[in-house]
Amino acid sequence: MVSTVNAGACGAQNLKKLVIVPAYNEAGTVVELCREVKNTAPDYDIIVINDCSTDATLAKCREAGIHVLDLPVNLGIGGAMQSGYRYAAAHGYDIAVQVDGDGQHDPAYLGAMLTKLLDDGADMVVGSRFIEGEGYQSTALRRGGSRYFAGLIKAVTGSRVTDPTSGFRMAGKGTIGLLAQEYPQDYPEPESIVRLLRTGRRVVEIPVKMRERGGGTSSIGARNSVYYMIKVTIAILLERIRPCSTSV
Amino acid sequence: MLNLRLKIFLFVICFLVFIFLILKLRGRKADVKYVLPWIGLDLGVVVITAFPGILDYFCRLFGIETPSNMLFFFALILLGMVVFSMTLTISRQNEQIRDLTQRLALWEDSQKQTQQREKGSGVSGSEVPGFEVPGSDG
Repeated sequence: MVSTVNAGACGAQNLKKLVIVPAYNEAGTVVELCREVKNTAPDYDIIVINDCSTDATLAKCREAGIHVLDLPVNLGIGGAMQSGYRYAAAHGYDIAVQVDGDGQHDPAYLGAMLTKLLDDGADMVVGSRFIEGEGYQSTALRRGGSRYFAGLIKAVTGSRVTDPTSGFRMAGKGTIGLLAQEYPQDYPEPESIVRLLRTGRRVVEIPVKMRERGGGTSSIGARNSVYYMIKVTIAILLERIRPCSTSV
Repeated sequence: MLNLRLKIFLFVICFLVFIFLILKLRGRKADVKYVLPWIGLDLGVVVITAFPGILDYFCRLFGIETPSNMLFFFALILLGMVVFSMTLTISRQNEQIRDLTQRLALWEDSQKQTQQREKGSGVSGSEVPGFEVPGSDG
């Protein structure tokens, strides 16, 4: 059931579009980000997934009148994103785009991502910071990690992805349904790309400039980066030996 | 030194365990996160069996008589660690399930009371203090 959105440029206005903002302790940046989305992409609904933040994230969003899905138990980025896709699926959204609550993703790219999704008949568009190599490029170690995963994904799926750890991604309707049903849990980005590719879906990238995070900390510190590499490597290799069903 | 028979036996067991783990992962019966310690344990035993010199060293260090005893001692320690990490996980999950159950019960209760009030049946329970109904935001 690969359902691509076959609307032309004129149909793009009628699509139900949702911005999912996963937020864990992003009180300092999330409201500003939502304001930015409202200004640059007013036709998108916004939902913030508050993953049991211990700071004022929830209070600040409610105060600003932002729609928040408040998770009672901390699920981590995977569970939070899946909640967002579930919401999108339950409310019949055609497009769902993940924008991090820390401000590193610029909502100005939403238009370009949507155009790419519709024009290419893709199932997912990923904003890649490495195609043109402009904007915030992250640390050398993280770039090395990204390159390693890109190579691994190429070996496992045969597809070229330049920025597999990017969380700036837009999904079409069929993909929303799939991700709502099943989403990798911790460190989900590279794994979810492989899963989509292995089920015969099209994942394309557009170049974006990312900004340095305005607040919060990365989920991947120096201490658990080795664990991260091993875990994600095994997860990707496992996709290789799983029977690749095109259904699900 | 470990004798050859024991070595082969250990290699075969480790290999079978490894296959078993991969099959469970493949069928999504187990999560990578929780299987990783078992894979580590399995590979650890393979390394030690292949290079028993490591065992001899630790035998001298801890005053244990035979390398095979050292091997079992190691395995016991590592198993203990894996089991204890599961204890921690179960405790955390119990906490979460209790929290979710209570929230769900409170939420359903407040939903029912709202419905009853709307019907005007006059049965009004007390408000649930400090509990926010999900989706009540603007």
